[in-house]
Amino acid sequence: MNLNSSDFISKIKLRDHDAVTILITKYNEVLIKGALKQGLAFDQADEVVQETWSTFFQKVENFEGRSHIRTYLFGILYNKIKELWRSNKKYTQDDDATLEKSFNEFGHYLVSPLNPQLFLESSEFMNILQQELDNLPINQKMAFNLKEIEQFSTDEICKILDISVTNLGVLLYRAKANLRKRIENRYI
Amino acid sequence: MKHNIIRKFRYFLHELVDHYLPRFMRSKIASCEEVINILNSNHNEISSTKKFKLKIHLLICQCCVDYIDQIKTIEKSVRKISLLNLTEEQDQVLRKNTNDLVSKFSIKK
Repeated sequence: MNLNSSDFISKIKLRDHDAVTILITKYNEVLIKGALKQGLAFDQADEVVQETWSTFFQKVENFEGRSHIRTYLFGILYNKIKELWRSNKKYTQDDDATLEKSFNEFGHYLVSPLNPQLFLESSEFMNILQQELDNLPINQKMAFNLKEIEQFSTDEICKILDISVTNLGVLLYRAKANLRKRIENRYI
Repeated sequence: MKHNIIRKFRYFLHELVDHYLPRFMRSKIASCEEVINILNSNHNEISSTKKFKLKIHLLICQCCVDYIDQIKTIEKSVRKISLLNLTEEQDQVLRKNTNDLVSKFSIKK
């Protein structure tokens, strides 16, 4: 069944049992995993996803189907996660301290990047990657996760995070550069 | 072995360009900072001059080759995280919650 068809959306608005079952069965696990990948514990992820569904069914009357239903759900989920981080005071503003002073006055590296083969040979690499991904500033982490892990398109990410394409480009650049630098620092 | 020789050769070329190439010629070759900016700009917006500068730079700069390979390694590895599996206990909680959510938000005919 096409979950983005106007017929399906109309059924969801009427809270049709079969349609709601299909929707929740298909996306509840996806949303939980999406929240876990943002560094939430399972209990927190579960709570945030329950709130996401509540908000979704409150707002579904206004949903016109211009974006995919998955994009709409992720938009709500990511707002809930941001609210959670803010309330826990774990919200970190984008901080590019690690990116400063990478180049000298001639635009060459002050310190040569490490041979990436070192990463692949290290048994700890996946753990370090996961830890440093969790440590990224929240906006960078969300943009990076949506692009590289959830594999949303650029347009969809811009809708979910409510940002411009240029802004997304900046966030992704900073996320990758930060992640690279932070991982490299663990090997120096 | 061959890989190491190429690495050393690129480091050597970079030193050569940095220290011995006349300034007017050096300005024709992008700096590492410029290369990173080019790589992070929209691919459709990169002019052919910039693409040429980029290719020349990557022939002589092991630092930028390593930088790009590091980013590729990170991107590839991060995709493995997407294969996250729930524990059996979490899976049970998820199933129960899914059923509860359906009961909560749907209207049976």
